[in-house]
Amino acid sequence: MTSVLERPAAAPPVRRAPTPVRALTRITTGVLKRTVAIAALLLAWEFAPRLGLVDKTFLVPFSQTLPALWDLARDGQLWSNTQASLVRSLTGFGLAIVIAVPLGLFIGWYRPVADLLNPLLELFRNTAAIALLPVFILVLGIGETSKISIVVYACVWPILLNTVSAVRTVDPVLVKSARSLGLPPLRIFQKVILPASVPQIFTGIRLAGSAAILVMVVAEMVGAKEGLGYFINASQQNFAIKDMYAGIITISVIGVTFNQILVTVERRFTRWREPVGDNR
Amino acid sequence: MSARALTLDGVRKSFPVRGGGELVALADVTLEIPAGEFLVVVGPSGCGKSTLLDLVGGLTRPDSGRILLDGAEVTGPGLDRGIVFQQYALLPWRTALRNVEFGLESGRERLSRRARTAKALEYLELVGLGGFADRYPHELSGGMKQRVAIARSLAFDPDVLLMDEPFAALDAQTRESLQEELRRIWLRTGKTIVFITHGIDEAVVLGQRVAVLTGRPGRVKEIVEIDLDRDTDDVRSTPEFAAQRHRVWSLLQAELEVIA
Repeated sequence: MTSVLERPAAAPPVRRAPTPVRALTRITTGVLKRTVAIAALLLAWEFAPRLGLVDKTFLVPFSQTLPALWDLARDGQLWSNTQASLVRSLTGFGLAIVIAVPLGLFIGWYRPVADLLNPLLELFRNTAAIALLPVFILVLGIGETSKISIVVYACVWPILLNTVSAVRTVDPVLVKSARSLGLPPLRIFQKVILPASVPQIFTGIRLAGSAAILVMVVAEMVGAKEGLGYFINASQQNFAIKDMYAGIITISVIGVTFNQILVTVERRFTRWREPVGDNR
Repeated sequence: MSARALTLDGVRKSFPVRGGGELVALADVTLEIPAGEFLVVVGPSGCGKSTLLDLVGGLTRPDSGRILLDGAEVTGPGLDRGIVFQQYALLPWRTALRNVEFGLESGRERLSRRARTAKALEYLELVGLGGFADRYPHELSGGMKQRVAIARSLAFDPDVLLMDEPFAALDAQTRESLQEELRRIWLRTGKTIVFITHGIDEAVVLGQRVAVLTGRPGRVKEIVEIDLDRDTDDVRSTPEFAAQRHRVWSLLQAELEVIA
């Protein structure tokens, strides 16, 4: 039979396990590659003020911010501010997912609704959330409600738009094939549309993740008594420059960690996809 | 395994055209396909071959005329017909095995999970992919994907297998091996098969009969009986093959000249 041409007798061989030495070299080069740019940035931060390239008062060498960070961590200030910020951004982010994913699925599934609402969605998405912060404060007051609401608002749009477009761009052949099996619309939605939409929904969720942190910081800078945004702003105004940088470093670590968690979750859910390069 | 006769009786289908008017894709198509027959449909491109298949699959309804499965009119999609698409239509988030299970999940008699898996594996083995059950579609070649799709369509035991240019996207070698494989599967399962293609060689190699359609609107121009001794080593090199191929070719050529 000619089909031998195209059908290997057994499953193709698994990639050979690397030797320990080679594995170690690979890991080390991997780590080096990923850290070299950050190391360069930290070196520049360290030596630019020391060499007098920038004013030492305003850009404190990196090594001097670390003791400040340590002190803040020890007296609990860092933790209480971080906690306040995380509660705000995670609550807003979570609420946005709960609202926007089902809504997006609904809008995407009912084409007329999508056509009707799309201009409105585009308008809202392209209105910078922060521009609306004064309105939120005006209507909801200066407490937690307005801060969480603005985070929800900022997070809803990327999730909603990506979910709508995910549902609308499902391969029509898949839908047709499910239809030919006699599946009712609800089953097609559950077994084809929903799983096919997962990757793009996650793209929206990841965009929302970074929006959540950005908007949270700004909201805290404008009117809050605790939180990292407030802390960074207050430190600057009190001329506690080292503390200010300590706050900024914390924000940046939180942002990177948050994104990394989302990427990991995304990978778990989309393992069936064709790999598209290592770092996304 | 079951097979049923398929009858198309004066089937007509048209589509509205932008700016008014209508495009008649199929006009008065009548075909009588006995149970267990392998019928190939060829025609110039745009003659409504795929429309014909959508109609038999129950995905669209004819304007007039009837489509009958053993005398019962087709009114919608159903598991008594299985469709194999040119673009495989595999669910990329499911493994080969779970893709074959897909058609078994909505069956009339509910199979247990274990029974579904066993059946899916049986059909994967039928198409020679028993060792690839846990591969995702992107890890399979085009030919393997189409084998999975064929296994999926066979697993729920339809009476008629509808195939819409299933091998058109494959390279020549893979196509030939799958053609042979399909004939083997047909002989083994005894299904009624309606196979649509624009390849004349493919039509003659596979079909017991080849229905040649006219250009737009599509009508059955002529049905050619294929009589070949397929036990010979290279059936394509026999004079009988050449003669019957030429017969189909001339019928089709006349249609192409009308269009051009």
